Amino acid sequence: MSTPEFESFLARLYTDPEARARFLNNRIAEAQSANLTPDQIASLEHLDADALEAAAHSFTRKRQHKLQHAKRRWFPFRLK
Amino acid sequence: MNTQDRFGLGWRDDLAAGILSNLHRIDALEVIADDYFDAPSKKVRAIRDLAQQHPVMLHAVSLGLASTIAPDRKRLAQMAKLIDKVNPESWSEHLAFVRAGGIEIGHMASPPRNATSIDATLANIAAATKTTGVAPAMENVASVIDPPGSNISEAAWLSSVATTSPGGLLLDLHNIHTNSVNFGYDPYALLSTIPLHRVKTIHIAGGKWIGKRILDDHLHPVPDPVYAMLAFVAVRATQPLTVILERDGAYPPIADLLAELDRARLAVNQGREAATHEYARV
Repeated sequence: MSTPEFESFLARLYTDPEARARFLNNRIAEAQSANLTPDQIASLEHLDADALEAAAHSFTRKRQHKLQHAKRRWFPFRLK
Repeated sequence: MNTQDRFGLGWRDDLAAGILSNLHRIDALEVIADDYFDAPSKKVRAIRDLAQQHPVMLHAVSLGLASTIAPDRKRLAQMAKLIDKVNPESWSEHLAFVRAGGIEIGHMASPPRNATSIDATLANIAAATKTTGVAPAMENVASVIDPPGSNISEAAWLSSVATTSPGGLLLDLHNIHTNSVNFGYDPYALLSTIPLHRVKTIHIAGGKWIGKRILDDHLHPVPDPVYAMLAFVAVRATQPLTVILERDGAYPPIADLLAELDRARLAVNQGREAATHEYARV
């Protein structure tokens, strides 16, 4: 049931608020537009929307944290 | 009591002074590998020197081995180079995917649990082992969302990977605690199912409640249920265990972290004692 296309679809749901909104508005149509298999589409039908938002929020926070961390990480060494 | 059990901390630059001045109470250190992929050679040498004096394990977070997509060759090569330079005791990664279709998720996402993802994960672990020359221990991850596309349980999926993967399982007990709350299963049933003899290292950490779920943020003290699970594992896993406390921010005084390590030590020792008495009764 796992394919690169399915993982890409999940990655988009986890990171793109607009894609997430389109999906939550019409799950089947959004999944079909990504050429997912019937099994994959069925698994998305009852996905917990609240959990999806919580996961997306958590991933966003992590990305922001990494960005801040990366900016300061090697700064003292670059001064030399 | 197994005198070979060890209790250590995740190395974080913010904790460096506290760790280095308390090395006699910290048996092992776990260093985030990816932080050193593009680091100045001075920083890599510092970790190498540390590894020559104290047990150091490298812990990767960005290879994304639990995926139907092959891991990035450049990252694998960076991991291999770092292992070569630092010469750690061992290395580990997560059972997660972190990118797909050119999109960086930014953290570890639970893979869909099915036969295809097991096969793909094992293939990626084999590729990582071939490139680095050392098999990674693979860590179970926490999630607030039950991964879509799953048709087998977390326990069955983990067992399949842990049984076959050459580096075994890095067992994160807070992740088990988190998922058991978030998805409503019995954590002890899972711990009784997975191959605990394949575990060498255990992670403990803390998280926070967000509504009805737990978020594994590593910013809070280790909660009681995790210590209870640690004792449970110590009863059943007879091999030496290395327990690593992970803390990723909101750092308390080092004394607080050492106190958490002491509590972990107590939990493991209690488990070992219970196992001894159990054995004596047979």
